[in-house]
Amino acid sequence: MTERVVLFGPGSELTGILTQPDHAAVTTEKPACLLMNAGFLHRTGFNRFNTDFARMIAEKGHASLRFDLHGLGDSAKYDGKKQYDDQALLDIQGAINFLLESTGAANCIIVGLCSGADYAHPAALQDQRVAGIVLLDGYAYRTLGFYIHDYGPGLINPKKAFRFLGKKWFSLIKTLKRTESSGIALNKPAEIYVRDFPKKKKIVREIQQLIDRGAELYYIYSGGVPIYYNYANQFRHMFRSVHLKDKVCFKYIKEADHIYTVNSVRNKLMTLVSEWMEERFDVPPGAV
Amino acid sequence: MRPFFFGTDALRCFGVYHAPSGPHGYTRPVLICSPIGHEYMRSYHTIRQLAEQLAAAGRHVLRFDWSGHGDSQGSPREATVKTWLANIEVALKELQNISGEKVIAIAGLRFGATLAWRAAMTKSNIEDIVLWDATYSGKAYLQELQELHADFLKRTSSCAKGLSNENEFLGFAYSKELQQEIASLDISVHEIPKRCAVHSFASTPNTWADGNLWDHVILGNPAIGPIVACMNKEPS
Repeated sequence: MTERVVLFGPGSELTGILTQPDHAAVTTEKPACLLMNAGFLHRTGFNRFNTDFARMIAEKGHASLRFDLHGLGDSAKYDGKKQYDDQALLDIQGAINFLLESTGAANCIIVGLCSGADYAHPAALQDQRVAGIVLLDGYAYRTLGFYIHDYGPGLINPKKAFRFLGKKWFSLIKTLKRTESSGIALNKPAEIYVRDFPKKKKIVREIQQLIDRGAELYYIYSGGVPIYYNYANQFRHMFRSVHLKDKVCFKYIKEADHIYTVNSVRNKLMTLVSEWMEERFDVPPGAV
Repeated sequence: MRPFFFGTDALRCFGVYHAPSGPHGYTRPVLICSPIGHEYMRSYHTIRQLAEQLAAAGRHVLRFDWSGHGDSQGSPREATVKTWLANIEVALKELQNISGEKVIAIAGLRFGATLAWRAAMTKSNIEDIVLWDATYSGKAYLQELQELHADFLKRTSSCAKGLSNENEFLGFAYSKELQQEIASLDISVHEIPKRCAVHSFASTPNTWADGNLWDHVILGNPAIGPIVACMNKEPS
């Protein structure tokens, strides 16, 4: 494995680390991997996930680029001339161009957590060369099951149930109607990880679009965002109308916090994503 | 700003060099030592801000990732204080080569300050030292990390509690040997050789031990201005 610092994009304003396996020939057959910033964290990722994951998949023949968007890590400052989301998508486009040109890989997978997931989805929509995305704590919408899991334990106690029904019933129905369609956060204590999601209808349409074009999608939710995701099958219930066509995997890692602080849980995440890459993208010898 | 790798294969470090850009023309370059562990992650942006402001005041500046951190080689599990002091030594040489200056100032944040202090004890080419929110007692620092980690586990899913082991500190695993080394390091300003001018700074408010903020990235720190101003008072 070799790693080098790379500057790319217009004016070489973006900074990244390109990791390549020892046997360079292998990389053209396997998708390369683009590793995104998570929130304000720089390119090495949450608890160094991006660095460790890049080195792990290099052993399996995948090249990768971990890089900083404008305004983050060691990239140039964000000048405010464009909306930040538009700038971020341009940056990702530049990163994909650079990654594929440098490695000779035909396509790539984007892995992102939180805001990184929120950018990976539109980036995949705008670029056919994105063959797969791994969204960690990506878009989520509350379902009836979410509320049952959220309030359910309290309802087992008759006193609590009575109090709950008396005080919460009307607001629950109101909130359920509202959040089913928009994903607006509930009034829970302040959380740095809370963010607004686009309208569910739009996301449903776009996920279907990605599936129909043959992209592989992997949605992993941690136990660290109970404010909008709290049970294993919530993904299926959120996106009932989407025809998954064996292109979508989803997983709930209840024991994980949002940034996978516990080492063994982070290692589990790395293994899951790397196995998914192997299963979905590895070309059998002689097939090319 | 020039990011690059330096050092030998075994101790390959990622660093960023900031060329002097200000009108002052101070000649003493500054080596910046980041915190370790989750504090490294939280303060990356702050360290860049300090480097940029020092460079804007006319200094050559080098900041780098410790072995086992960021983009540098190794894992925290394999790290030792000896390795990190070797990182400083290689980084010092790199900064001397880039700047053409022999005498260097060193600035450290949190445990980075402790390592900077330890390096200043033996490196005769270090003549200014900035201790920023320094962890004066290694034992107390380790205790603080243990408490923060225990607090994190209390707040997190019950499933995670059994998965974390005693050698983990908020995402970073340290060997027993490293923990002992950390616990044994106490900054004593009196032991710093007379050639070194010592400047101490404390952030207000100091949020390092706040269990509610341990995973918050620090986007600005009011101590940076005073640190740069203080260093600029002593052109050399």
